[in-house]
Amino acid sequence: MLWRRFRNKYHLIGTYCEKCKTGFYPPREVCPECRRGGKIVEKQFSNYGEIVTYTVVSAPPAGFEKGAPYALAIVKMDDNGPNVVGQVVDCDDEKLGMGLRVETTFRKIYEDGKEGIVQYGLKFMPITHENL
Amino acid sequence: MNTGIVGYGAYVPRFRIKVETIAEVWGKDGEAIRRGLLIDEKAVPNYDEDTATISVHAALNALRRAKIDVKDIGAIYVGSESHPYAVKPTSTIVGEAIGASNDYTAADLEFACKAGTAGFQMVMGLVDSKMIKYGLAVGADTAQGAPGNALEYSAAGGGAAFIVGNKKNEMIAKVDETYSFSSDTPDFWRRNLAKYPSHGGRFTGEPAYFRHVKNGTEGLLKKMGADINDFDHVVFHMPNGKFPLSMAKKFGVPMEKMKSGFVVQKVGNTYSGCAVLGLAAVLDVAKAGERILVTSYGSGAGSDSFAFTVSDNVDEKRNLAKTTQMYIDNKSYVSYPTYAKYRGKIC
Repeated sequence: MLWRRFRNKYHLIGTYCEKCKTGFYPPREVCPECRRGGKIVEKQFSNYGEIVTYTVVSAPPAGFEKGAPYALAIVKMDDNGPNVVGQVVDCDDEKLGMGLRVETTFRKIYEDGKEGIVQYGLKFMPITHENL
Repeated sequence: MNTGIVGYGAYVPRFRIKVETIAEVWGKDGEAIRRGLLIDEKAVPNYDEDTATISVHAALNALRRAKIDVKDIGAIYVGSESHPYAVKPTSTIVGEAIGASNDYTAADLEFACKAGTAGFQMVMGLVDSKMIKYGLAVGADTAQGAPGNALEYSAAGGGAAFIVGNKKNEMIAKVDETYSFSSDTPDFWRRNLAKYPSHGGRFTGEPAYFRHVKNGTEGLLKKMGADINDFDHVVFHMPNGKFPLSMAKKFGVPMEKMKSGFVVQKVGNTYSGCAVLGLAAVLDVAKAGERILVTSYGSGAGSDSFAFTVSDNVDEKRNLAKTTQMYIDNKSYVSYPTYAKYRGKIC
């Protein structure tokens, strides 16, 4: 059930290997690099980051038609955070690009039909006012 | 009364649609409607925004200003007439998303456009009676207006959140008094499962909005032994621009005292988020020692009136989160078809 992971999904809480200083999101229980020698701890990552790369989805899967075309990006989170995949919203086409500074925004992700559960989570949007 | 606002936050979606754009679709005179309603444009939530997401953003801004441990919040009330679920609280979604503990009471409220201020009064009571340390009250809406209906020119999305506490050194504004005036007045309603609200046209004016806002405000002033001229900023609920300014005229309140909270012209009527968004806008600019009067209005009908005195903390705290004006300025216009798609009018 998704609700077991609300805390991770709503707050960008993943894990971090203190030995090789690598962040993981979604959380990993074992560091793939250090393996049994690693020391994994829970960590809440920064809500700010920078787009590493992106694509624009014009033919979305079922349930995502309303937002199409929409941008999907890999974002490198600040403070040596992990790369996180997410949708970019509230962004003008000409502004979208690699290097764009973004912050997380709490949005609807998916609705399970008209009578089902509404799934919420984090997406990205351009930073309008740094540190606010 | 020993409670006050220790944190406040606003949220307005980025998209806007001009009144003229809507009028053009329905063959109406946009300029005349714009002048009549005193609304230039309204905020349109994105397709992935709803009352829960708006409430979360407003609450996070309130937390930034409050500088409290979120785990100390003991009550969360979200007032709206567009909760995402008929059964399943918005307030617990907000609690989870802001990182609250599980040690809080919560409920969703509905009283047309005044459910946000009703929630504010509820947390005031809980804090004042020391049942909880802090309480969070949110007023937010993604307001509905049927295509072609007069409401479509004003019904907008947005909201504001307030964290209420009782420590004077944490307060941005102290609550001096509150008073409510209610009656069974069927001026505006939405039946169960109906998609759009219905209203009584001109009946929504004198016997509804004006009667309740007037009596709510007068009741507050009488309870305090105060005069409306004692206040530096006044916010009346803004279903459009015309009603609150007419009310101000009747009370003899100059535009100078109305302008800081007069957000309706650029945002529209954010229903449960309306008067509270006006209050947030006032707190963004008010000086320490200034007094604020806010009277909400909810159809059906009732008004909650509040008197606040701004504390010395205001300058330090207001810059800790985005101001209402920052949200108002960050905008992008959409066409009518895009607006109709985002608001579920065509799918």
